[in-house]
Amino acid sequence: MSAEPHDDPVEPEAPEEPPPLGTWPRVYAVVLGNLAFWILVFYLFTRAFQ
Amino acid sequence: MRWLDWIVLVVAVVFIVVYGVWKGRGSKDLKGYLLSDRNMGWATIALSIMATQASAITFLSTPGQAYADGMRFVQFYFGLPIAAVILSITAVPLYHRLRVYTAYEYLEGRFDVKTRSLAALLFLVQRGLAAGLTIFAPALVLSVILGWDLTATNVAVGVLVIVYTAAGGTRAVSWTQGYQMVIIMGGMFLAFLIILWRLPEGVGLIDATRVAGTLGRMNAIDFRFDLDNRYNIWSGIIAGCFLQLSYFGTDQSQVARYLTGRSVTQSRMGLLVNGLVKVPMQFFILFVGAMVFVFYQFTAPPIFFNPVEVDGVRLSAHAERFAALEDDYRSAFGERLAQVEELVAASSGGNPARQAAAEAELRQADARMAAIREDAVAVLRANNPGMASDTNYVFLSFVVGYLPVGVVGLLIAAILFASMSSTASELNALASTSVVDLYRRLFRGRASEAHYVVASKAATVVWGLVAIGFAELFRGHQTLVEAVNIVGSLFYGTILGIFLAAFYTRRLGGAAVFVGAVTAELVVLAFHLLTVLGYFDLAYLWYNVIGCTLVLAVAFLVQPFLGGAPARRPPA
Repeated sequence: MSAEPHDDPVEPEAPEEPPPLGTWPRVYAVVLGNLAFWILVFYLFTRAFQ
Repeated sequence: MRWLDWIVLVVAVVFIVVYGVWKGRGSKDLKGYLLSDRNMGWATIALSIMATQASAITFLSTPGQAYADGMRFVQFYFGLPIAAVILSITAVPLYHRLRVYTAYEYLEGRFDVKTRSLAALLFLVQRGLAAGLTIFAPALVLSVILGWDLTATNVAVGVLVIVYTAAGGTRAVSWTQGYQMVIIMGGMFLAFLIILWRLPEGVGLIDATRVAGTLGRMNAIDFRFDLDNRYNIWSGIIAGCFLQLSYFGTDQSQVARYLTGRSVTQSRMGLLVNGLVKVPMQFFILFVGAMVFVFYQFTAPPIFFNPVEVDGVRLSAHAERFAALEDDYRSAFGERLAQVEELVAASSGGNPARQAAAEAELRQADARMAAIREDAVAVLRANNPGMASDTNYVFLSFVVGYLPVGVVGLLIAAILFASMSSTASELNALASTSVVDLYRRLFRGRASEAHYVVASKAATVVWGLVAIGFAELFRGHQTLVEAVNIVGSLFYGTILGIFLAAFYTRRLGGAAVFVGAVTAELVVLAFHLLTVLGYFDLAYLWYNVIGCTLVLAVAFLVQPFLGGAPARRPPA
């Protein structure tokens, strides 16, 4: 049984691309805002038809 | 199925298998085989994540769920976008920076090799069983509705997945999942359009939605906080977030999808796009089910959607009683149909008083039908006490009974693809965990890259055969399906606890977390044993909470006594 971790060659990290809206907090805000939007739509939908 | 359906089905399946083998060719090293050379863009990652999560039973049971229980199941997914954001901030950059092949590899850097091996073993047991269920559950529904041989369906799905997953590795899995997801959602959209087209003349989408709402199927949001109520906005956001954090952050079948990203940005975007799309997508699938429900307001539904159970009771001592209930159900349907038509006429006539009266009458007529169906289910259960609900059979029996030739083949291909795409991710994850976390780390640390690629292919085949074996074992023991879910819950909480300790605590070391994990697992197993022996009555979903909490609690408790070096931080 080997106790040694496997040695992978160290890879150079690729340069990071910028996120679509410039910063990550903006992207996260869109994702969470999208969730809030759908919850609102479903709420109105439930009120209208249920 | 007619010949055109068979042609559509065979062409679609052969295309996917050949495409998978072709697309995945040429991986010479482990990075190429297990991580697709880390060259995937966000769109492929997003589709791959969706296809992995959406198993065939999702597409079979979700519309059935809306048919039986309405749209409220959509709330179950509200925690997913929140989990996607949390993991994008924490897990994704961490896994990328450490250049890991599996999530469990990270645990060695953070804790030690024994904690990593424990988490990997727990995952292998849980996911190995689940892979059998992923094959078996849709095969059972297909065999009941289409009369296919169950063993042949299990083996065919399993072998097809093994062929392209073993040959092409992660690249084949991810690329085929993209096409599979397009066909699955295209098929669902086509089914939706055909349902609307098959509604009676003069009944539009708004009328159909109003009918569904009157009968309690448009209950998408429920703000009431109630621990007994499985689906409300609070359980969806809070408990759902924990569940999705665990699934997307620690389950290798999902982690492997975003580890293939060519950069942190691509991996994050793959996960976040899933967070954007998943909730409306599930709403749409549920809405298709609600429209199937409306379709059966105008067309007489069977009293029970599993024909095998119905055929069984017709040959039993309960046959006479069941036939009488079927007659009652048919006449109750006639009364309900009259009320549905009155509601549609009243709502288009713009008379609120008439509409309110029609709604009340319709609810009463529907309640009469529901009561008769309940009696029929009781008779079926008297004939077969182990009988499962017919929710999973609603959508497929509608597809086979009412969709045009060719579209039936496409929808069945979509259901098979959903099964294949989830199974492919599971086999791929089982193989990578077996080889990277156990074989390479503990037994054979200095072999060539070509050796590990061969080992990974062999592991994929072995796990595929194990999955087919489990799927066959479930045959004739449908209650084992629930047993597999219980087995999953026995381990998921402990794995989540280990990862939460790794991600979010600084003070805990490997020895403390290992003690916590072993203790938690033993306590969860003890709870289960006491439940089985009748000393407790604990729903198995609570095992997840108990396991996760105990790992952290015990680890914090024993940490001061274990001493030693502080927990290692992941290298920057």
